[in-house]
Amino acid sequence: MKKTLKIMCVVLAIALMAGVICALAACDSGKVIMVWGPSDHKDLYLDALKKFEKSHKDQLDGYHFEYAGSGDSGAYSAMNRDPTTGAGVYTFANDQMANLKNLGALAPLRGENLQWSIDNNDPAAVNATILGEDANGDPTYVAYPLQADNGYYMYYNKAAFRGTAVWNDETDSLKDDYTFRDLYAALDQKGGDWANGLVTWALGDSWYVSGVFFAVGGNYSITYNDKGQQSSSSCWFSYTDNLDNTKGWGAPSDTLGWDSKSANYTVGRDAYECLKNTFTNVDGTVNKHYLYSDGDKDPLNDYIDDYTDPNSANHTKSPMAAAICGTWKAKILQTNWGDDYGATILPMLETDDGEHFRMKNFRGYKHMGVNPMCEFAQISEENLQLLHELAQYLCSEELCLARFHSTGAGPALNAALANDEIKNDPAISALNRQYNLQCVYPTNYSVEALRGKPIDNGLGFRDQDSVPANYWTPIQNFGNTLFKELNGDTQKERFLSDNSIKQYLAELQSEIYTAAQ
Amino acid sequence: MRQISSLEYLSMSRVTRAWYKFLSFFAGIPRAIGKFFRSLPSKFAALGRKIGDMFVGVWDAIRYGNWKTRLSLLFWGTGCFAYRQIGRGIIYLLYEILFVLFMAFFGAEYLGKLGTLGTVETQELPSGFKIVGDNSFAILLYSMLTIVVIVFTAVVMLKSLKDAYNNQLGYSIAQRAATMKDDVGQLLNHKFHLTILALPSLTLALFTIVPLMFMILVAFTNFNRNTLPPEHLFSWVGFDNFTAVLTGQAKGLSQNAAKWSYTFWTILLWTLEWAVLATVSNLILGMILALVINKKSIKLKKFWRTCLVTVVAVPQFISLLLVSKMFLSNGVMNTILGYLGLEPVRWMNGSTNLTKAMVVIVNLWVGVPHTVLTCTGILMNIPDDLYEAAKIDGANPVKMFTKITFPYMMFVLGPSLITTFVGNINNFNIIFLLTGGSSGIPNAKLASSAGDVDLLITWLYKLTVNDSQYDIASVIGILIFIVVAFFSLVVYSRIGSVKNEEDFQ
Repeated sequence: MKKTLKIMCVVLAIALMAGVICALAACDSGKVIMVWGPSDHKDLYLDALKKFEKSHKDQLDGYHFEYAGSGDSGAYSAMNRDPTTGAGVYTFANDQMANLKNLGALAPLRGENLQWSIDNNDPAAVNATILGEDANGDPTYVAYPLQADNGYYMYYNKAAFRGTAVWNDETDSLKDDYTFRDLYAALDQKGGDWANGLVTWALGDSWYVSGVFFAVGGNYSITYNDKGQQSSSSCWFSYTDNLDNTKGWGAPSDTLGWDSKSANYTVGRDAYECLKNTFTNVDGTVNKHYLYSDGDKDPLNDYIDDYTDPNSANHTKSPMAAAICGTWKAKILQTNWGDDYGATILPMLETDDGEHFRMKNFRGYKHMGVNPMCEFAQISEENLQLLHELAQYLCSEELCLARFHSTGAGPALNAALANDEIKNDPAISALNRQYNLQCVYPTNYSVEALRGKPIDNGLGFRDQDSVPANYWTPIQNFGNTLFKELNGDTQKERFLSDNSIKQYLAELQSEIYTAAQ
Repeated sequence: MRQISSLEYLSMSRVTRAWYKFLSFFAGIPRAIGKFFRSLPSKFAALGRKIGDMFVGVWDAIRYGNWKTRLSLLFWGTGCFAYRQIGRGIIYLLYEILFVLFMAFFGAEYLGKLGTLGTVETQELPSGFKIVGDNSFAILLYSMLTIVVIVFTAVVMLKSLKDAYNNQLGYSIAQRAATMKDDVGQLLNHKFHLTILALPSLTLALFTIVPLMFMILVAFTNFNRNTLPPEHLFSWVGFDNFTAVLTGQAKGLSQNAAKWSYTFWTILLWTLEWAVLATVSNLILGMILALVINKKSIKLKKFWRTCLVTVVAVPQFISLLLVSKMFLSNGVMNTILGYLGLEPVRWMNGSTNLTKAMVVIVNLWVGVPHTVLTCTGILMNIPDDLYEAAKIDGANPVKMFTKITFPYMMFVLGPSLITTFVGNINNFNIIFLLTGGSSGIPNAKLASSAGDVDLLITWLYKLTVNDSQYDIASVIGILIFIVVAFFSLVVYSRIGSVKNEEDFQ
């Protein structure tokens, strides 16, 4: 009996071992090319992949496609696990482009492929796919433009502003040259249910706050090494002179005349005043109509859902009258506001001396990348080319329209942009109006002269082709700090002293700056 | 600290005595550390002797062995074949062949590149086609695997030599060597522990030791987001990462060394503060609650205990996520405040100190029930006759608590307090699920994605998952181990329940 038991133990152990080995062997599931994209587009991608599989059976050599929803923002973390087992073709948000390239997971576009991309897509979107330069000094294009709608603009409830000073009766919409303070005053003027009306924009989210810095002429620049990694980054959000970086930013020289807005300090001073004036009154108190939000702890997206939902307690108490957000909120706002739903360009910002600047959009994109590290592409150059063809097919007009119908995604493809249905969509048209605005820079210095390179010709946006490695956090911190320093219970002072604001800006700029290595 | 005589001790006032005891506990710590380090050489010597013992027979075998035994060193199993141990001989020979094949086709290639972690960079052809070069990650990982295999093989090789020598000796005496049947019989009888432990040992080596060696070695490389394989190579940097994190000085690549070091010390301080606060607050409140519930005059004891058990029964992360929603800016708590006509409070996203306080308070809520249950168990275990005797002697309730209940409880709770303390140092759930490691107050001095409420363990998580900063993360991991090991070993050896084990009946 004892012996039988012992033998059974051994047999069981061996069986277990065999099981583990079989399981490991089964992991290799055969010839698969993964395609990653947003989960809510799964069906339309699956159909498209089936079609492509049928028409390219010979070239695929037994491989088949599988689709997984990685989410555009999740592409990098998924690819980071191991690019050699990652997707062959995948979509991603443009801020991950440099990281993905650094993983080796983006094949450059050359020859016919590049020509296809340039010929068929919105030029701004094509430009956004450039990452660094090759050995000849030519720009390197590393992805296909997929969506050009990743921007923000002003949503507003027409009922809240109709008949007030900011209203344009002829067009039945907001006047174009409105400011935040105009909106607050209009809500006071309207009274009734709207006396407690709210306006929100994400002062705690760097993507939105950047729009204010760009509006007053701030900018950043990045240089790359030959591997496509950032070798240095500079920004002009505080001072226009970057040379001081070598000396450390702690103690900017006082003799330069911060208060008098000398050329060196214009950007930082203007940005600070414009930011402050989006949520404060002239006497420095925080306006009661402003609702603070950020991307995380006071979530902008949730607030918009909640404060516009007719059934919510928050809506009854203080309904939302206007909010700065992007296309992903178009559907829910259309439902909640019904006929009063409106969308328009971003507001004007004002400094303490009454100078006005149009708030800018930090224009983001979604791209389609080809991964040269994946198993299929590693076999031959022809296979890699086949993946390029697949990417081009997935960016075609047929699929752009399908994506628009499914989630309201705005395409980058010229043919799809010309489609009437897309052209007349209120959200997309507000976004396009914003993109095509002619903005005026501050006049007391020359942007070109100070930065060597002008940004986006003074249009209503700054392209988010790529951002410095340490970009998002410092800007977010700046907006956050500003609000918390000036806000109610934790308020230290009504107006920040020149020195402390200078200090904040100095920290911001030195955070983003990295010296060439 | 000066040693005092019993007379001196007894002549002290009660407060001074307590203070003296408290101080002497901590004063003894340096000595305990010293003792530990002094004992290290003898421990290493013992280990050395054990390893040496393995070679004792080997030298004899080479010196006095015949040609069959000596040939076993080159062709394993020769000594077995020669004495008609065919089965055992085949196993040895087969293992040798497998090992040579493993080294030739796998091990040698990786082990050879271990010194540089790869030199061939990934190339890109004009068409965009990639020719993948050396993969530093695979080189490091498979080298570790190869080293484990080599160590194991060395043991097997020595065993084969010893077997051959034993056969030679045994054959000259008995003219017969153990057969395969004998071997199997032995493995099923008095060597059954070898049979049954073989598989666990193998899996332990593969899935624990190899990854552990790998992770420790990563601390000595520059494996981070700029050197991710297979696109890039990473390489050895010696102790650069350690000096960067500990002192802020860096010779090598990490240009943010000063920041790493500032972040590490700031977070370490808060981690220790948190561990002390969380442990002590839980202990005190738990003890008070347990005493109250255990009082004879309290009715519905079972009901109160059930209430506390209910909190334990709900998975912790669900409670925590729920609480974190309650304290949002527009959450339940602020809505209630609103009804009462009060201003909303930014509970966990407005001030570092308030957030830290909130985390400690919420920790009480999820932690106290455990303490109460433990304490209740101990309280019910204290013999009633102790109290009766005390009562006869005229002791008041306070006296009985300080002389009977508290010492008794601390004696039993000592080791569990250390576990709780160490558990709190690594309390990922509370900090991460409640706050995400940040109170929303920016601190530009902190490196990468570290926040002002982060513990070392949550920072470690962010470093690996968000920042791909594996080199620094590995250093932090090693330092966490040192901190935890320090507290566990030193404090454990100093507490009453270990020093005076026999006191407890």
